[in-house]
Amino acid sequence: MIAEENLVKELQHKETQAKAFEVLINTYKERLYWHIRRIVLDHDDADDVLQNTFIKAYRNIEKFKGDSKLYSWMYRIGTNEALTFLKTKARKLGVSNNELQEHIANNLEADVYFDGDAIQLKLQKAIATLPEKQKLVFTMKYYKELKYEEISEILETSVGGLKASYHLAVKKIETYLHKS
Amino acid sequence: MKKLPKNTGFKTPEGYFDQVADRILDRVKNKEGTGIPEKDGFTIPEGYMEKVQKEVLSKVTTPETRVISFRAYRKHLLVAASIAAVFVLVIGLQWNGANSITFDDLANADIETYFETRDIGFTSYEIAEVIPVTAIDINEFMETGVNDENIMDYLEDSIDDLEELNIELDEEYQ
Repeated sequence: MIAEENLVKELQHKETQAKAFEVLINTYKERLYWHIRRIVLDHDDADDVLQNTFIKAYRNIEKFKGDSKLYSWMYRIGTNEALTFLKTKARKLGVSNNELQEHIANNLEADVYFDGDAIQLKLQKAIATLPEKQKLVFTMKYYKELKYEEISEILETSVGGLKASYHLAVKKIETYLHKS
Repeated sequence: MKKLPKNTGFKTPEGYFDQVADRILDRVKNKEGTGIPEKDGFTIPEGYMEKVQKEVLSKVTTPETRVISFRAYRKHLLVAASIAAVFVLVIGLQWNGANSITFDDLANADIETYFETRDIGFTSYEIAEVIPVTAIDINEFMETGVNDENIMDYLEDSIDDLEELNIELDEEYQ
């Protein structure tokens, strides 16, 4: 595996850019896909957002100064793209962001790319009710087992704040799951 | 020494040992015993990850549309823009200077036609607010003229005691 610093250098040089970009996609496509998918829920939407994320990274790689790690930069672009996508979609449909996400979660049963059972479906409905920050922290910590320090770098939030958000999110989800 | 009783007296709920295994397995399955499932149930189409890589690469390697610089034509554009500006100025001055239309230029017939053909939508109360009652003659509202004599004839025929109306009658009716 090519070291991150070398990959950045190769991405920033015209001669090596194409090959390095392939490596970048290969390295991050799965992790980013699942990160985005858990935000937008629908596969086709996740596909659009993932492609836009890589294209944005490609076009802006020269601006990457190396102040943060490459993976956190990629995750940050992916997160912003996914949130912007949802906000644009909500605006087009004339509903609030929360209403849209609850609507998508409630329609997951009809999604051919969701084969979760009743409890997994209920989990998505519970996550949809969370405020944006709690939702992001929960999905990043619970499924990907990213360290708090890593999430802190991606979301540019303090570790203490993240821990509090995660704790609140888990409590709310537990309450939702045990309800009814 | 007397023998101590082997039975401690502790009991378990009925069927406890039948259920405990399931409860432990449930807790192992459900992360940290929170009841939150470990997997989320999302799937992806077969071969998606290979396909997406090709799609992204094809999008970034598509040659960008060539941009033709306007710099070379800048001198000509400036000349053309100056000429166009002069034309606009001359036409604008002529338009604004002469032939400005006032209300007096409108023919009365045109004004009447306008009010007749348009649904102005004023109620009689709204008209009464802007036009003083003394300035309105009854014939302005009616197509066939009604004179005082006709009114008096009508009142005499339809009202039993005309004097109750306290009308200030002209001498000729007294």
